[in-house]
Amino acid sequence: MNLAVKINSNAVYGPSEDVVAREIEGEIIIVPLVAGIGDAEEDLFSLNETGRAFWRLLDGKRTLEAIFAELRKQYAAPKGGIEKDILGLAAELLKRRIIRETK
Amino acid sequence: MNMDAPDIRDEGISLSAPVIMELIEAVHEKGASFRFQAKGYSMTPSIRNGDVITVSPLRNIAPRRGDVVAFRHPERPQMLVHRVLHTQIKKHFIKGDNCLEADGWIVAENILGVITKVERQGKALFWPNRSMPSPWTNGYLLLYPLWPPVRRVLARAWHRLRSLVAPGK
Repeated sequence: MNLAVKINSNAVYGPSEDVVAREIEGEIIIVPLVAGIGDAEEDLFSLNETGRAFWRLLDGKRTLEAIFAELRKQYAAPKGGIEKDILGLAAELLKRRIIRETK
Repeated sequence: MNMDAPDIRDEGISLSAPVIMELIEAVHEKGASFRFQAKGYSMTPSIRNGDVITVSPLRNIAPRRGDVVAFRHPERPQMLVHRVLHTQIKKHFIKGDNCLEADGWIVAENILGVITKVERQGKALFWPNRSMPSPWTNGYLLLYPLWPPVRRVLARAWHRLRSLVAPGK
């Protein structure tokens, strides 16, 4: 079975309705809701600083390309310098059903 | 600004009480329950240190006598999980089963939710189902707060009996 997820940089992604995410004390904590239960013990996620910057831009309106451009501006990164890492994170979030394609 | 590779972490996340309270409220807004590890001994033996408890939203239903609720401490940035002993309109008298002193009257706004499940070492314990109270459940709820003083009396009697049977041990 192929479990690989395909990420399209021209697509728009947003937080899934099956998660609760809160930025608390500088951390973004993501709680997936499985069968009506948010589980702090086994399925809680947190993002590092760059992941947080990506998450804040993930509004369900911008394409990944637009997010890349914004992050390149924020981190003064050259074109092609961040895309691979961000695509990797987006694929991981999509695989864990933390984000979903909105458009 | 330096840019590390973005990463997601799912291990070693330690939550403080204020963070847990905020997450409980956020999860409850979606109508879901929140599951986390209890710390402390104030509800022993009903809930032991390390048990995993599920706190469910009240959905406009007032807690009843005997319910164990998660609530915001009125004076400290602390969340407690203790039992309701008496209820009045919009306030509840709360105490930990293993505490000598009660928390006092807690206003309804400070109640975060009701405990609906307790798991110990991966197994769910018997826990009264508040939506379908049976006579056994009602008896359990009524008598459980009596358990700590009864246990202390039994322990004292046991020590006295042992000292009579085997003096000096």
